[in-house]
Amino acid sequence: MPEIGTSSKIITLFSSFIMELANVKKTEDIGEALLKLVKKLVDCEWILFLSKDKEILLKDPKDIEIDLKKHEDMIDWSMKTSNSAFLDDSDGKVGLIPMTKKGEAFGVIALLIKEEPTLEDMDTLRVFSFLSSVVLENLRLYEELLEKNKLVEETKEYLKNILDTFPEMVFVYSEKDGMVFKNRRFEDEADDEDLINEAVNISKQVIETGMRRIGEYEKNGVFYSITSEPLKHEDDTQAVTTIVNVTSTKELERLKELDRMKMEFISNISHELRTPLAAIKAYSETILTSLKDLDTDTLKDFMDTIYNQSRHLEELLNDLLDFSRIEQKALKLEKIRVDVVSLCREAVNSMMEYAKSKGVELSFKADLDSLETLIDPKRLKQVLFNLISNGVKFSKKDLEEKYVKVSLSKEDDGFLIVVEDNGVGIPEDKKDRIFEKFYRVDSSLTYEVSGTGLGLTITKEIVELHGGRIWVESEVGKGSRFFVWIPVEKVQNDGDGGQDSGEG
Amino acid sequence: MMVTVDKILEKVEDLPSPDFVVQRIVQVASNPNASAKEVSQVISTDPSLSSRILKIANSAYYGIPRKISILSEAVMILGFKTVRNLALSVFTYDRFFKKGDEKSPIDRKRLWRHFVVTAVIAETLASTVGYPVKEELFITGLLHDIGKIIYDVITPKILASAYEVASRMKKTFTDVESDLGIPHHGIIGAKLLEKWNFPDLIITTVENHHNPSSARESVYSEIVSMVHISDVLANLLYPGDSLSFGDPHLDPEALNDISIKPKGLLNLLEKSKEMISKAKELLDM
Repeated sequence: MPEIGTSSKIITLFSSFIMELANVKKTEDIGEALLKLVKKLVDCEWILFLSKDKEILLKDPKDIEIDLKKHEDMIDWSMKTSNSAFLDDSDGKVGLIPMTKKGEAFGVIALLIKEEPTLEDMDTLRVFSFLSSVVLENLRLYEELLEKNKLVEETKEYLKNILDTFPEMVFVYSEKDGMVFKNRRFEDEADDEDLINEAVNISKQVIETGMRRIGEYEKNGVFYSITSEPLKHEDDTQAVTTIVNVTSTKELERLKELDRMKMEFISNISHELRTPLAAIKAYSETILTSLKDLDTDTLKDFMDTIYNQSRHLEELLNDLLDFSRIEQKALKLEKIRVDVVSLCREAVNSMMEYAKSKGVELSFKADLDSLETLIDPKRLKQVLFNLISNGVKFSKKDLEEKYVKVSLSKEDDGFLIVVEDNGVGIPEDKKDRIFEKFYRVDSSLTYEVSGTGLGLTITKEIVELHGGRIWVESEVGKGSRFFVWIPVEKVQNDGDGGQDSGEG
Repeated sequence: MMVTVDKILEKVEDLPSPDFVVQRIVQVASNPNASAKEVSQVISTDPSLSSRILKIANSAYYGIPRKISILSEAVMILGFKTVRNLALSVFTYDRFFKKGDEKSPIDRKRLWRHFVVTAVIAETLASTVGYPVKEELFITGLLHDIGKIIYDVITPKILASAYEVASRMKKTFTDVESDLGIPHHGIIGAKLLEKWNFPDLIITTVENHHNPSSARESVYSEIVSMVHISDVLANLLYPGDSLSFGDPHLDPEALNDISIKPKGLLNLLEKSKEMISKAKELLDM
C-alpha cells in the first residue's frame, strides 16, 4: 500500500524536523534544519537558502558555485505569489520553494534535482517551507523582542547610573505602588525615618495637586531641602522627589553673615571708642596748655567731662570684656541673697538723670514689696541698665511724651521684669535677631544711635545664666516691650539662712 | 411543484459522468506519486483543453514572468493542482455554461462570474491567512454552487420559481430553498461530485459551505470556513449573481475558525478585487 508508506515517511520527516526546530536557537539554524529535511525528501545535487534579496545565506555542498541570475524573474515571482515552481535547467530541474508567512516572503529555498518531483514531494516541500516560515518568523520576533528588551534594560541601567551619580537623594513615589525608584544616594543615605516621611508627604501633595512643591526639613542642625515634581507615567501620577543636604550652604551663609557683622562691629566699636577718647584728649590738652588761664569752675567743668567720658569709655570696655568672656564661656555669676524689688528700684533711680537728659520719662512700679532670691546683683543691674538705656536711646525724637516704664511682678516660680517704651519699635523680621551678637537693626553706618551692639547679647547671656528667659514684643512706630523672667532660687542653704523671702 | 427530494436526487444520479479526460485528471491529481509527465499526457489527449489551459496559465491572473508553451512546464510551475483546477474550470464552463437553456430565466454568465469570483477570493484568502494548499481553495470556491446549475439542468422550473421568490422577496437562495422544501443546493452539488468521484475535500466543502458549523468536526473545517467567507464576499461584490438576494448570512464562527478580523476582511476584499480584475481569461472562457 503506497498510501501508508508515504504517510509514514511524512510522519518520520515531520518528527525529525520538529526535533530539529525544537533545538533551534538562531534563525540561521532553521535554514539548516530545512535544508537537511529537503535533502532527505528529494535527491538533490545542490541546495541553497536565499534571502529575501536573493543573497545566498546557506548552501550545500558548501564549496559549490551557483549562478541563479537566469532564474531571478522566477525567484521574484515565487516569493510574490507564494508559489513553488520547478524550472528546466541544463542539468535537471531547479526547484524554488518560497519561505512565506501570510503572503510575506523571507526567502527562497533553491535546489537542483535530476528527476522530476512527484506531486506529493512538491506539496510536502511547500508545507514544510510554510511551517519553517512560521517558526522563522516567530523566532525572528522573539529575537527582536529580546534585543528590544536588552536595549530597554541597557537604557534603564544607563539612566540609573546617571541618577546614581547625583549628589542628591532621588526617589520616585507612586500613589499606587509607593517607592518605585530610589537612586543609590537615597538608598545609602536616607536613614532618617522622619526625613523620609516628610519627603513622602510632600510627594503625596504633589501627586494630589499635580504641582511642584518645595519643602525643608531640619534635625540636629542638619538642614535638608526637599523638591518634588509631578511625573505622568502611563495612567499613574508619580512624584520625582529630590532631597539635598543644605547644611553646609546654610552654615556658610551664617559664617559669612557673622563675618560681615564682625567687620561692621569693628568699625563701629572703633568709632565708639574714639569719641570719648577724643573728648578726653582734647579737654586734657586744653587743661595742660591753658592751666594758668582757667578758673576753678571751668576747670571743674572740664574735669567733669573728662571723668564722664572716661566712665563711658569704661562702660564700653566692660561691654567688650563681658562679651569676650561670653565668647570664651567665662562669664561667671556671683550670686548673693538680694531683694530684687529694691535692686530694681535702685537701678531705675540711677538712670533717672540720664533719661531725663534725653527727655524720656522713666518710671518704676512693683506688684510686691520685696522678693528675696539668689542672684548676681551687679549683673541684674547691668540687664536693667542695658534695657533701659536701649529704651531711652531708641526713643522717637519728635514725640512729646517719651517714656520708659519698668515694672516688676511675681510670675510662676520667678519674677518678671518688663521694660516698656514708646520708641521706634523693632520690625517683625528682626525681632529674633536682635539678641544675636553684633546685630543692630539699623546696620547702616549712620551711627544715629551709639552703642557696641553687644548690649542685648550680654543681657541675654546674663538672663540665661540665671536660668531665665528674655523675649520681646514690639510694633514699629509704637514701641517695644522687653520681658525678662528669672526663676526665684530659694535662699535656704545659703549660709545665714534668714526667714523665707516674702511672697508678693 | 411537488417534486420530492428523492426524485431530485434520483435525477442527479441520472446525469452523465464527466468526460474521460476530466475523470483522469482528477484521478491523477489525487495520486501522490503522480508525475508532471503523467498529468500533461492525460491533458494532451484533448488538444483544445491543453491550449485553453495554457492560455489561462499565461494570463495576468498568474503573472508568470515567462511564457509557458508546454503543459508539463505549466504543471511544474503552477503545480499539479492548479492545472487540474484549470482543466476542471474549462470542463465546468463547457458542460454547464457554454450554451444556456432559452427557457431558463437565470443569467448563466453572471452565475459563472459568481463561481470564478468566489474561487479567486478563496485562493486570495488562503494566501492572506497563510494556508499552504491554496489550490484546493480555488477549486472548492469554484464548485461550491454547482448545485444551483444542476437544479437548472434537471428541474429548470423549480429553479425558476426559487429565483423568482428570491429576487422578489429579497431573500437568500438558501432561505428560499427551505421555504420551498427542496434540497439545499450544497447537498445536490455534493451528491453530483460524489458520483463523479471527486476528492472528499471538495465534496465536504461544497456540501457545508452555507453552514460551516456543521463541518466543525471535519478535517476540512478551515477550508469550509474560508469558502463560506469567500461566498459571502462574492455575494457582496456582485449581488444577485448567485441567484441569492438580501443580505448574505456570515457565520461569525467561520471568522474565528481562521482567526481573521473584520479589518482583515476589508484588506482581503481589496486584494481580491485586484485579483478579479486580472482574471479576465477565467471569466470569459
